[in-house]
Amino acid sequence: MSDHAHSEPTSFWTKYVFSLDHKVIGRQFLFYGLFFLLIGGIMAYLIRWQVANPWTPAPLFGMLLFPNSGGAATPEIYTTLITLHGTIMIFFAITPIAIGALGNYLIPLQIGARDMAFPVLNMLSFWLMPIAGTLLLMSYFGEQTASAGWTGYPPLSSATYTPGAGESLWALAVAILGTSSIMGGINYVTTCINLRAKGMTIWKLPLTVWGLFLTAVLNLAFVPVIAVGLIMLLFDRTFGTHFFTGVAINPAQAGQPLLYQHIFWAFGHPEVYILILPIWGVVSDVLSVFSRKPAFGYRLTALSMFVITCLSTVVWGHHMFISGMSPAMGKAFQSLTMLISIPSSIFFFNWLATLWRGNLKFTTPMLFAIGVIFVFAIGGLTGILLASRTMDIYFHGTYFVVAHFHYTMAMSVFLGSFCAIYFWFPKMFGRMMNETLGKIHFWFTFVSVNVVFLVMFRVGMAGLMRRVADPYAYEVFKPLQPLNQIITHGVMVLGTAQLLFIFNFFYSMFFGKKAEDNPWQAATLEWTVPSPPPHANFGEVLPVVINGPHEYGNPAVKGKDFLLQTEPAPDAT
Amino acid sequence: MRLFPKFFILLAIQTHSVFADTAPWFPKNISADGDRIDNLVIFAFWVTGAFFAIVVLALVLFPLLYRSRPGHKAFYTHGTGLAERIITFALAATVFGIIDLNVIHRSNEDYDVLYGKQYDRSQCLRVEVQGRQFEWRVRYSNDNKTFGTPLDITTLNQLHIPVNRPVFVQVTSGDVIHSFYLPNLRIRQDAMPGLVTQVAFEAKEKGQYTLACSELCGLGHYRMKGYLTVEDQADFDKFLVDAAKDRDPDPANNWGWGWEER
Repeated sequence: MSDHAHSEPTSFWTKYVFSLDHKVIGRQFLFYGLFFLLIGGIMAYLIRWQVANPWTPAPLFGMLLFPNSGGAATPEIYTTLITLHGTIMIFFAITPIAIGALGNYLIPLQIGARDMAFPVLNMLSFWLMPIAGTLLLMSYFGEQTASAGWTGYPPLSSATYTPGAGESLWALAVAILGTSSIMGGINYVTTCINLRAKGMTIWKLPLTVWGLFLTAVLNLAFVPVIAVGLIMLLFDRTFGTHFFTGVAINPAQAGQPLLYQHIFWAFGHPEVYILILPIWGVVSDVLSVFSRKPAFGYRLTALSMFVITCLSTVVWGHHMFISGMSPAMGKAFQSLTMLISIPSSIFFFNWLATLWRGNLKFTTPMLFAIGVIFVFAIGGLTGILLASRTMDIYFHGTYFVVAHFHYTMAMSVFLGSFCAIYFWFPKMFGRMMNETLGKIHFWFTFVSVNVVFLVMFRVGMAGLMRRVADPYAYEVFKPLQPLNQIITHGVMVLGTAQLLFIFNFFYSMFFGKKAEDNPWQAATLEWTVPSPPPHANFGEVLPVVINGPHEYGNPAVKGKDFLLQTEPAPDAT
Repeated sequence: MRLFPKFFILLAIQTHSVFADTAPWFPKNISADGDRIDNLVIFAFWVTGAFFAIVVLALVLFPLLYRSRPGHKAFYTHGTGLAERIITFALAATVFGIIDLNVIHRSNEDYDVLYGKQYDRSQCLRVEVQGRQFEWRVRYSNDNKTFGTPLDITTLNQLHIPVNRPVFVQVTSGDVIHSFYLPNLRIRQDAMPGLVTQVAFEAKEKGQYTLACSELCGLGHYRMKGYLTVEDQADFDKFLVDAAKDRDPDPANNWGWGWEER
């Protein structure tokens, strides 16, 4: 196989640990992400417990994580938890699952390549992750933990106000993780451009690949921005520079705290789309497969994703309406942000139109895909309220914002990742996941997610600020305690429901029904090869692509209702 | 089995509390212009809610109508025809026109009012507020004009203002970023070290309300609590006279800044 970069590995270490094979690396990212998803989820529960019942021992995990205080949170523990929950979920759970796992596993298989363009870089991009993860977890067990929030705004995150190794380890961990994302980005972009099979034009790419490609472009452009910001922060902390700090000490020689916010959100807003774009792609493809009809307006969906990618780079100021930034800039950022509605409504309409007059099969991945439509509708529409600089005066920094961004970039990615895992599990592990357990898992997850975050909108409207360890220190927020307790109960149900997934995932991996090559009757290239695919994916000859990715329900095809991308179209006669 | 009825009673109580008025939907509005924000939120809820209802309707109807069953076939279309494209763009334009343009327009209209463009400066009270870990330092001028003199009147966590009189507050921070938050007045402004920002409001109802910090500012963030007292001009004048008795003569503690009229 002369066109393949590396030969089949023979030893355990090169096959399963330091593997160059994109399929192994993809699964490594998946396990890594799921592990941190569990940790971040436990932290979410502990945060919620504190907000609902301040300073009381949290059942189950309280004693495990902070036995010194009898399982009850302290201000130190609470601020550490909110810092780590945000950081872990965004960088250590969603990033490896939605980008690392899906990107590595799917891009070569879906575009008809034998592997990524740079397999060694690919391996390195994974092995930086455990280093970053270890550093981050180390910060929790030190004397002084990272506790300036996942946004790490200076001067709070400076050595003066958050002393100790924890905050530095946090910044270092995220910077190293960013390096991994940049390596991945280089690989994804190069692979998508150079290694497409014959006939795989950009208008025949599955929308999943479109999403992953645009994500990689954003990663390449904006992760360096946050990496630089964090390194400047590290310099402020360790070498006595004043990029962002020193204002209160000596205004003449001071840095600008507002500068950090610009750097952070110039990355931070594209990051939202970095996380959600792959999931939009996955949902578009999965809806098409299980509606048994082509994705409605495929090119417009891809184009609107592209337009959103461009717009996402010029809207970051809506995170800073009340920061003291010039009101003129606020006005501009408000209008630019609102423009995102146009491409969003286009692909959103295309999703619904894909379902319209379809032949809908309610498999577990399909249920999760429909779930994503629902939660993303709520997230997107509430975004319009927050894009208004006037309403933002009141909503900024409240639980309304928390509920909004959890709907947009957390819950849609959470449900979308399950959609992807249930859908590609047979390809990844050669066995089917249990459908009944999957559906129960979906309904419990979907309902509890909405209980948690719909009620959270209500709490935010009542004015409750986020990141407050004990909201009931304020007289005016005392009536909100029952509502906060509902949210916490929702989180407990949500967490418990994930046991179903964990069981299903591992049980099916070893004892599930053997999967056929193409159990979902899907059209894209990965379903033309055995489950799991062999080393180098495609046998002796690389596939030649003839059709688009969504040839379902074509009445000209006899005997089955789909055409693989490699199958010649039937005669029109 | 005992657990089961208990669970449903709890569920019923909690469901009730989501919709009941025991917890407020908004905190009571005491600002002369705060209803602009409330009304904008309510307007935005109605228009976005209408579109959300359409989405939900589709998500309920389509699975019922188009579920896979023997003899049912999908309608084969790529949705790429001219008519489909026109419909798609028309829908996007409708969403943008009905929701976004309206929200942009009303936001811009309300914004200047909420920042006090309409007030007669000669009638306004001027206050300087500095956030510190974990307290609010409030400063009144002796003559309502010059700040940063030994004659300034300072209080800790006590912001008193007269009712029915416009107030300008200039905010900054002495250490980390805080956020000056008056929920009942619909006012929020980050207190940024090295930067003086200004908010304006007019309270129309007497009483004691909350002054909160809404930006994570350290371990004591949750207890960075102050009080807003809205009272008659006479009571306010008396408060200033009383507070002046505790005047701090030490110029080292003089953190006020020259008022910047803007």
